[in-house]
Amino acid sequence: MKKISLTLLAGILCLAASAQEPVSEALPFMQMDFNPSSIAMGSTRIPSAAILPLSGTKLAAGVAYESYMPELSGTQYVSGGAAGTYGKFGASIGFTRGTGDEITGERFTPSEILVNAGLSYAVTPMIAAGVNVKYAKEQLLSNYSNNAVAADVFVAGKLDTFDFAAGVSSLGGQVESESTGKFNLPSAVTLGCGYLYDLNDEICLSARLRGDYYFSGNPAAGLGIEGWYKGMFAVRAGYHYGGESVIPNFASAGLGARIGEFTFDAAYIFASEALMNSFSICAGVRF
Amino acid sequence: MKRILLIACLLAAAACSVNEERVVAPREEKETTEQENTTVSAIIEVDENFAAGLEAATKSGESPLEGLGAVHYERVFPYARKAGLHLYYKVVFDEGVTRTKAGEMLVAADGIVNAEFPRKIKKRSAIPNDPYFKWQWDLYNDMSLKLDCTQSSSRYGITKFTNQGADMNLLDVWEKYTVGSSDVIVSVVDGGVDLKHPDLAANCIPAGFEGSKDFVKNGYTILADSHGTHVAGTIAAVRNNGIGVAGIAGGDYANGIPGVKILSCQIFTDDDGASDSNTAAAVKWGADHGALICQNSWGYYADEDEDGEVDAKELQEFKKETIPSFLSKAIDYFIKYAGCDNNGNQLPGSLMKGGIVCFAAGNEAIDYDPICAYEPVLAVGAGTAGYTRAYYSNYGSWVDICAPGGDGLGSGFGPEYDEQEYSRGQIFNLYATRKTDDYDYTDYGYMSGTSMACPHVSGALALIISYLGGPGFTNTECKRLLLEGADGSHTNSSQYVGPWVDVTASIELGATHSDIAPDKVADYTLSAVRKTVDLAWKVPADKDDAKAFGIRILYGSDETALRASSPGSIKSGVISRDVKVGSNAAGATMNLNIDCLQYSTDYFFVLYAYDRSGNYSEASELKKVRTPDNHAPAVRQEPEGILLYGTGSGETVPVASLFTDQDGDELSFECTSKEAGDVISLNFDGRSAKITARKGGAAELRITASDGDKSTGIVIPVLVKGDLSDLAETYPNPVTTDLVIRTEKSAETYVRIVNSTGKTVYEKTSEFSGFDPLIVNMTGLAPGRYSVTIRYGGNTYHKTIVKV
Repeated sequence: MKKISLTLLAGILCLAASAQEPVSEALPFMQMDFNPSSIAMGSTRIPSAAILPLSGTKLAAGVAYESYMPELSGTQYVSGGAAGTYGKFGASIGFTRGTGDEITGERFTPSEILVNAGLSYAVTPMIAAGVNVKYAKEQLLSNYSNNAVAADVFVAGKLDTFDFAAGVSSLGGQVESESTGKFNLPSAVTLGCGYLYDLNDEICLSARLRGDYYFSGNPAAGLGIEGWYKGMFAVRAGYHYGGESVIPNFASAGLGARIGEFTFDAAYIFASEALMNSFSICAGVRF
Repeated sequence: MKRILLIACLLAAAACSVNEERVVAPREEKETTEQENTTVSAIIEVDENFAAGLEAATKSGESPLEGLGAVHYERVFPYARKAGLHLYYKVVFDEGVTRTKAGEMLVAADGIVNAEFPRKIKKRSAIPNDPYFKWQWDLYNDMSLKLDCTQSSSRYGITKFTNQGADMNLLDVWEKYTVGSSDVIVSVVDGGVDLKHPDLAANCIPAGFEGSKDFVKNGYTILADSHGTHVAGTIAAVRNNGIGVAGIAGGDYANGIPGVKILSCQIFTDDDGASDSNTAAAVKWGADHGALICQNSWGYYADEDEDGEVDAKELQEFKKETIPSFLSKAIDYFIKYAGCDNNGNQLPGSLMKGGIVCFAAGNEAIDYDPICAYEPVLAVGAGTAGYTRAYYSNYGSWVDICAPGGDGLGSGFGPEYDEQEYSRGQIFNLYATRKTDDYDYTDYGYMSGTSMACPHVSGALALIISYLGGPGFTNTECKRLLLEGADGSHTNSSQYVGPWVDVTASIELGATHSDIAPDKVADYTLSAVRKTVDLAWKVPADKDDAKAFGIRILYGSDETALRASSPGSIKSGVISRDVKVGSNAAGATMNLNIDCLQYSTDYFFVLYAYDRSGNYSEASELKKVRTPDNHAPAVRQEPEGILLYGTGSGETVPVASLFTDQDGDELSFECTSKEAGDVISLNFDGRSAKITARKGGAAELRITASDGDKSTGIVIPVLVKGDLSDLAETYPNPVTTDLVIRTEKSAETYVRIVNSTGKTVYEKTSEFSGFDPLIVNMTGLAPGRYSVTIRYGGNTYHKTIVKV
């Protein structure tokens, strides 16, 4: 299994190294993070089904709302999803729809749709692998749209309070422009890890670190911390370095609450020229 | 007057006392009268010595001229001593001395420098006594007409012209040849002629089964119409009757000579007009009732919407029209059977075999008329007193001849308008005498149009037939005389309305027969200016006609074809122009300007002189001239862009005034719009472009000026601000390649473009404006939704665009 993982990783890195053009990726919202608990920590969680079999969660579901770039386009995303595990298997589904401002001078509002379904398997009690298939579509004009199918392939592991994940995200074909050629999807190699530390009986701290290397040649990274009080209230903060990659730089903060099986999360983005004042909220259940 | 020059001998000069006047052989009053009636007299000019001798002999009672057969002499200027007037004497010869004998003796006498026989003189009777003749410049233009074209110039933008003495050269015909014959009938297919008009009735054929007829209601009631009456009066208003005006062929009332007859074929009334078929019947009616000329001052509508102008669409549709077959058949019938029996043979008493159908060319200032385009029709264009095409006259190679049609606007009713309308150069003639609810018509008034020009030609034809007509005289010959006698020296090839009618030249062309050709054109010069060649030559002499009647100019760019051509056989590619010598004497210099040539081209010329009988001289020397190079039209001043605020706003671009041409060529223009989307609407009339904003965005006006050879184009950017509150705009949207970002005014502006995830894909701070916009190349960006941020003038604007 180790051999397989290394081979896969090497192949992905080679693919990333060769993919320098074009500089602009199509359907970039494939790489967006719609989970407020992750956004508040600098988008450091890896949206992969791979970790599911190792998470201990039997079933989780939630709905989210995100106001993205309200200072510019005012895009609003509504998401919903569910995930669960059964034995060594994990599965997830999700749906996101976003709408922005009307096109200037035209009476039409572009929209974006992202549908995903993931499946994972725990190879060992500490190692799992998963695949997440995504279908993305953006309706730009009443008679013009783009769409693509992509996949996220990850390997995840968990050892006591440390976890990690590695893989490639949004791996897929190209989108053809009506006028200027073909464009790649925002594919990236991603590595991420997290560490959980119980400060005392009431306070638990965690930190997460994530790095991405886009096939376009642009790196990105994120760092986030989280503190839980009595397992009921959480405070989060993070920073995302986007550089020239798909998601720009931002700092974020957020709150979380858990009451029984119900969870509530909120995130707020600041210190970002493009994403300033973006926020998201989520309500869910977890068993 | 022929002059007899005498180098004479000196008579004996005895010194005598001087009397101012001396009667050598005093005669009774009665005798003197008889002598004046039967004897020959002469005016002699003598030298000083001879004069002194005569004066001395007078004092001494001698009779020094007795040896010459003179019975009496006296000074022509009795008390004159200056300027040699004292040297002139009137000499009266004896009864038995003939004029020839007297001449011989005077020639033989010394001291007599010159001798002339007095000529018989008379009043200039060609000027009729019609009081309004003074306003008929079209018949006799004595240059007293002071044109005031202010109104028409300002409204129509026409070039103000001057009175150049244009008329139809009629006076000599009246004086020498004819004032019209009542054997000639002209059918006037028009509104009803006022058959009772006091200045016309004598020359009209009454309504009836064999006379004037109404084709509107197919009856015999002729309702007097001013248009039809004006036309008829131009042809046949009773001349020299002491009232009103003179018709071209109106006879001589004072001397009992009737004019040509008018047959009114009424096709219009105030409320109605005849149908096509009845109009054709009216044409035929004339042929069946003795008319030799069919006068038509009517035509079809080109201005369908009747807005006063024929736009490009209307012209395009009009040019699809042709003469209806029933009308062409009627015209053919008139031409073939007028003056003839059913077999086409000339009737006894008819002055011409076959008829001539004249039509007015039309008043739309366009280059087409479906009726006149029918070749058998004699198409008549209109000219002004300045020998120019009247601004309204239709034109083209299909126009056969030009006649005075008048200039100016509208019509004047009555004497109070006389001076005013006269000064505008309109045509004065009869009006209907009846009254209507709308107008209180008077008997006379002004009109202008090709409707007025056409009857001048009909009248000229009537005179030609009156004088030259008879057995064997054909319509073909009549038409030839009319056209060959016409004066082509005033022709403008660019808007051709034919040569000017010259009725004197036409009649003299048919009246004179000569066998000896004129001398060849010995010397002539060519000079090229722009697309024209100025030609100057000296009028050649003619041994039996004194001088040439005309000059036929053959020219072209094909030297071989020109050398192979002769006056009677002109090869393809060679152009012929005839210029009448007119009043120019032999040896006088004449000029002609030949226009509408090509630039940078060698042209070859050869000239032939001809007489009235069509005898052509030898060819002149063949000469070559090269026209200069053409300069393309130039832009007067690069136009600025056009900014339109809001949908529906518009602006008129004076396209014609944007260009100039160094060569003075007349320019034509094209104007199209290029735009991404339906941003503006364009209405171009050939001279100016009216643009109207339809929605926000950018467009271009692409304007091309052409002088027919070279062209110059300009592009005028047009920006339409659809949203007046938005001072910074982006277009097009959706965008494929270049995104244009513009601001209302030039200022430092920050622009940033981010994709749907917030990634900055473009960022720049620079200075640009509406007509110098920022162009962002979007080709490297994936299709998707982008947000554009523009910070300008202290404000921030956000746009959502789509790249596809």
